[in-house]
Amino acid sequence: MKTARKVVQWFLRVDPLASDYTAWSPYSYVFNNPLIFIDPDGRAPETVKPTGETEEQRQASSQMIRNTLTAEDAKFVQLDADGNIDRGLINSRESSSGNFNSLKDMVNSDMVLEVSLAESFDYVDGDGNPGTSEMPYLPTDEYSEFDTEGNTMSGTSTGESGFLGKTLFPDKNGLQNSPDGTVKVIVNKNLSEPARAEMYSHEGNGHAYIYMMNGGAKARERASHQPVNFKETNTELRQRIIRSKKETIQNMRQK
Amino acid sequence: MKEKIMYTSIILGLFLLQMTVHCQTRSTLDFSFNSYSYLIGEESVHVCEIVIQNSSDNEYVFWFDTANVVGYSNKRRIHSYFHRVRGDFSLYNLMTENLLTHTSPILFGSFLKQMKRKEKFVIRVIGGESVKDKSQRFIAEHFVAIKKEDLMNDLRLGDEFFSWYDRQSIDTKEEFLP
Repeated sequence: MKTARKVVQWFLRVDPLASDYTAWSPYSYVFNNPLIFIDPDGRAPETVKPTGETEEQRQASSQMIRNTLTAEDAKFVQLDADGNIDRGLINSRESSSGNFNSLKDMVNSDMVLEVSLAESFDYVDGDGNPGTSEMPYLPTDEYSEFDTEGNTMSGTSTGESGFLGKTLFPDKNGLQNSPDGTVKVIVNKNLSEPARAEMYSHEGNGHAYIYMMNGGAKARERASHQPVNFKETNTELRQRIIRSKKETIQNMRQK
Repeated sequence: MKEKIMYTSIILGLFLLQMTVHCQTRSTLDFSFNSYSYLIGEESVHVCEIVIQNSSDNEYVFWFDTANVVGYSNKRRIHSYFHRVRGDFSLYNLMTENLLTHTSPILFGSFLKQMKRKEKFVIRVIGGESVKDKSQRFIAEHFVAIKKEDLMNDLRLGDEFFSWYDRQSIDTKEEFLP
C-alpha cells in the first residue's frame, strides 16, 4: 500500500535573518518576488554588488562607489564574503550624507543592483533580443568643457566625455534592458577616478536609485531622462543627479 | 624641337589643371542657390532653394551649427555640434542614450543628414527679398560637412547613428537662420 508523503508548502521556522528585514513576513520567500530573487542558502540577498571579471575590477568598482563618499562614511562601505556591500556594516552608520544614505537605501532595498566598470554592455531589447553596445571614450582635449562644480548632469570635472555610463532596468519596456533580473549600472572603465565617481553618482544615485525606490518597472519613466530641446524635463532625476555629483566632487577634493 | 616641347608642356599643364579641378570637385559638395518668388494675395513670398549635390566619391554627413564655424578646424566643428552641452545634454549624450529615436530633428540642434554618393539634398529658405544673400551667408558660416568615415572615427560611433534622417529636403524660415 502506498502512503502519500505530505508536502509542506510553507516554512516551518522563521527566517533567521528576519530581524534584518522587519518590513517582511518572517515566513516569506525572497521578498515574495521569485522572478527576481532566488534564495539558495537562506542568507541575505545580494543587493548592491560591485562586479568585474577580475578581483582587481571588482575592487575598482567598489572604490568608485566609495569615492562618492566622505573618508569617514567610506569606512562603512566594505565588501562581505560574497562580494556584496556589507549590509550590517553600512546599517551600523548614521550619516547626513545624501550619497551615503542613497547607497544605504539601495543596499536595503528588495532589488539587486550590480555595478561595474566596462567598455561595453550586454542588453536585451523590448522583444527580448540580445545586443551589445560599445561605450566610446573621448579623452580630454583642447575643446573639452570642465564641469568643476557639478552643475550639469552629463559633464565631468575632468573634461572627459563620450558614452560614460548606462543604467539598465530589468523590466523589458525600454530599448535596452537588463538581460537578467538585476538593475545594472555600467560606468566607462577608461575614465579617471574622479570622473568614474561622478558618473556613478549620475547612474547609481540618479537612475538606479529612483527605479529601485519607487517600485521598479512602475518607475521606469520616473527614473529615465525626458529631454525636450536639450532640456531635462524630469526635474526629480535632474535634481538627484546634480545634488549627488556636487557632493561627490566635494568629497573627492577632500581626499 | 622647342615648339614641340612647348606644346607638350601646355598639353601636360592643361591635363594637370583638369586633374586638379577634377580632384577638387570629387572631394567636396557642390552648391547652387536658386531663388524665386510668388504672391499670396498681395504679399510677396521669396524662396531660396539651396541644392547640395554630392558628386564626390565619398559619403558625407552634414549639419548646421548656430556658431559661425569659419576658421574652425574639423575637430572643433565636430566638438561644437556634438559635444557642447546645450541645456542639460550634448547631442552626443542624446545619441548614445538612444534619446533621439522618437523625436523630430531639431535644425541647428540634432539635425544630421547623411549624403550618399551622387545624392542631392534641398534646403528651402522662405523669407524676404534678401533671402538669397542670407542663405549664401548662412551656408558659408554655419554649414558643416565632414566625410562620414572621418566623423565615425572621431566620434567612435557606428553607421546607425547617422542614417535616421532619410528625407531629401528640409524647409526653414529666414528668421530662424543664425
